[in-house]
Amino acid sequence: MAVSEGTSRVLGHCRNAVETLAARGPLPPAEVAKSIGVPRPSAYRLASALVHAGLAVQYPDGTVGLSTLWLALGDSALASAAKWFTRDDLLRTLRDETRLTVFLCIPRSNRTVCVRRLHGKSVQVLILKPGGSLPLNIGGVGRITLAFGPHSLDEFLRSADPQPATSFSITQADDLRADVALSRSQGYCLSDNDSTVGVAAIAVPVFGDDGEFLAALSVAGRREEVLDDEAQFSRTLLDTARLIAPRRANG
Amino acid sequence: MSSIEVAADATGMSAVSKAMRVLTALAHTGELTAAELAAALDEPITTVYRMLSNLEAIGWIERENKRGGVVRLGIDLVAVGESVEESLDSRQTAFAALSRINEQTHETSYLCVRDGNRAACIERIDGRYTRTAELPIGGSLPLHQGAGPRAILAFEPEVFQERYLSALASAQLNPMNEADLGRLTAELRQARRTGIAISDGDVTPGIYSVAAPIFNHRAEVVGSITLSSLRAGSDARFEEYDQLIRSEARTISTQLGHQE
Repeated sequence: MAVSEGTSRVLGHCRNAVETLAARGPLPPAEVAKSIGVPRPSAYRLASALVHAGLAVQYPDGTVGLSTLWLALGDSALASAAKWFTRDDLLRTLRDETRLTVFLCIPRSNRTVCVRRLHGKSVQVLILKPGGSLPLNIGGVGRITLAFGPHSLDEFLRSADPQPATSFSITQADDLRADVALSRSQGYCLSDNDSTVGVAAIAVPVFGDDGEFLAALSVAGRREEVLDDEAQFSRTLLDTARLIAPRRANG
Repeated sequence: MSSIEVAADATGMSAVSKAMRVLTALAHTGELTAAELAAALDEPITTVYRMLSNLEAIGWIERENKRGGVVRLGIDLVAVGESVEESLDSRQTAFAALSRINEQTHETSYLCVRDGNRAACIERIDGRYTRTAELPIGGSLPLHQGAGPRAILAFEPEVFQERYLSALASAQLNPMNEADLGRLTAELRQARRTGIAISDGDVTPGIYSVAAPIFNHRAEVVGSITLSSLRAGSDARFEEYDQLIRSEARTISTQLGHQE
């Protein structure tokens, strides 16, 4: 059966409906219609199709919510997003040694997406969670990805208009250029107040065997905790980054 | 109230169900090439390419750029899964089950979750005629004592159980002796086989408790529900209780996304 022309439009609405339900919880289809800007009958059809496919459930009060099928889809997406990564044990060690929140993030177009977060022992840094992302001008993981990742600074500036997250965020082209140069020369990136006020982070790149950039690894916590031990933390991070990179088996 | 049970139009229904088939195939295998997907779905490759373009446009799949490159689920799905997981309220779900149990049996029932090496009671409905004294809300017991705690311990990973048991054996205070350790090990094995843990007077004399584990979508044990009553009346009643706790625990697990 041919995929009709309407398919891409329907799937676009479908994605919007799913994101609305993910953000707001179960809603009456009429509310979904309003939220994603489609006529009510379309929203009812969409909801019906989602329920039929098992992606949503309808509750006795008439509201529609996402089904638990998304749990398995999310887990599976997370597992295949960074198949090379198998060393969760090293992230736990890193967290226990530093007592800070540990993030592992992989590059996607103009952003870095969190695939692991291990809460620190004191403050929990909430700006990023698995599946969440930051633009490449924000935070240690964003900026280290900008410095070493697959997207050049010029590409990033062309396709994205860097927005601030706090009043300390870097948004100007020249400042970003200087930041990239600093990250490259010292091998790590210090993020101070630029993603969340009061929070600092240190991020390093993770490279594969061929020298390709695979991920950004960072530790984050209260400014004082991080800044006092910048040298020590950056060394520990670089050591961990070397160990978590996949190694080709030799013979 | 209008119902969504109206006939969906052909395009929407087929687009969404086709999308679902692609997502399901990828969720099962991790990564597939377009050709492998075409074979798995029994669709012409040209159709598969169109489906993939549409799904890629909404971020539900990702494709490697090179020819014959693999297709995998899109990273955006992770955030949706996280939202669903956060919205699941195991306590509320379990409370509904405890209410049903109470209505049917008029006995005490409660929900336990693991807290380190202990199981803590976080929700409880007292019996209509008698109220058993063990595990008030906020109370806790070591994981090897009582049906509720043991139903959790029995379904923890093997390494956890081994560590827990060896800690019991080498405890400074009242280390557990060989015979008791053997009995406990057998009880845990029995619980794994039958799906329920039974405590017949071992915490409180004269109290019969039966508990079943609750699992999340990763098949990890997240707690247990227990039905506890006076050891009086016929054994037939207890058989009925065993069945009831098993099926209610299964209902909770299903609502938390667990698939058997």
